[in-house]
Amino acid sequence: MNDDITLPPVEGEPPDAAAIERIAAQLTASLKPVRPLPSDTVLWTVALSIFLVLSFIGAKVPGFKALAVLSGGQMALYFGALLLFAGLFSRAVVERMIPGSKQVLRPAVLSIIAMAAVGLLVLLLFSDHSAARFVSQGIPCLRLGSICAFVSGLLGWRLLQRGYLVSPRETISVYGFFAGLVGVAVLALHCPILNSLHVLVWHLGAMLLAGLAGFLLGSYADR
Amino acid sequence: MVAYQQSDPQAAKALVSQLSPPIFQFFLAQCRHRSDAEDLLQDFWLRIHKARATYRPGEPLLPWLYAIARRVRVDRYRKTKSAREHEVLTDQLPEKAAREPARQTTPPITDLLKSLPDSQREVLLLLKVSGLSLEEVARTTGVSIGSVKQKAHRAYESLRKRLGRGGEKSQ
Repeated sequence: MNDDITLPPVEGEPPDAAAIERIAAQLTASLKPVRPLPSDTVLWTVALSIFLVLSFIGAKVPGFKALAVLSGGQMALYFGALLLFAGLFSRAVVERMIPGSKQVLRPAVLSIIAMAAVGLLVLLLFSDHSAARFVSQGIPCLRLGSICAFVSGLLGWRLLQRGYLVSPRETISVYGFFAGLVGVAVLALHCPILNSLHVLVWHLGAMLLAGLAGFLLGSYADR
Repeated sequence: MVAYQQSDPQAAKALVSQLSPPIFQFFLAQCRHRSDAEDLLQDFWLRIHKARATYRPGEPLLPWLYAIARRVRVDRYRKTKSAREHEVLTDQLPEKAAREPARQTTPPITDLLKSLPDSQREVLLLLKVSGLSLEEVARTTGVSIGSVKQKAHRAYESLRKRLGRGGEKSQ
């Protein structure tokens, strides 16, 4: 059966034998075969696929208008960074879906690094820093980004539910940022406004909002 | 574990009887009463049953088990804490019992452990009572091996100081 484990010798009071029998009877009464979760790589690929497919669909509906105005270098750097962080966020989520798995990425640190790195990249890539029509152009972007983040949050919920969350606050927060990154990617493909302030506030704002929503939901689940 | 996932009742029974004693010790060392530890053990197995699909064959089992056990304990702690905050005292407190003459020179080990901060006590219990390796404790608690070593070191230091103080008092 479980010959893959070596238990240390147990000293001290044993649990009540009747209690153990009762527990065993409870478990066997509702025993059904279950399929173990797939490997980390498969889960990670599923999460990354959610990111790619939703980003594509989310931008296809309003149109890939940004692709016409972005240079090749801007596209490579900006989309490359978004893809890199999507990969890291999905890995962090998967690490937290399996109890006792090796945790390399710290969600809080990753979220801060992602926001800072993408923000810095935006400042470097887009030289227009004017604030003309800042709010009127920004609100539709924030709305589209938030809607896409919300949809990817709903889809990801199905994925998260297959795991057992030993730290719901951390896991749902980091998934919130991942969902927010879908919103940022949709806007990166759709929005033709190459203004650094606009992208920083209204595009990354969608990611920040999704992360905060994840934190609040996670805190609620963690109570 | 694999046979349990495939709904073999004998495997489930064997798993419960083999794993309950060490998990019970883990809970008992962190509870005031034996009955609390038994409740936690029952809750633990219900959660294991729900989460059994998240165990993947070939992966180390102990960190998976203890990560869930840890979550069960944290949830119970929060629930008890919140219940205690809402409790209203209705009865008079019983009179203080006459003080027993001091017989012990050093406090019992369970009292010493309970004097440690939660995170240090937990690391020490997992390392010394449950017999997990540093890597397994790191996986269970979701921190780095370095952090586990640091917590264990602090716990040893704190216990050493307390034991030293106990010894001084007795002289």
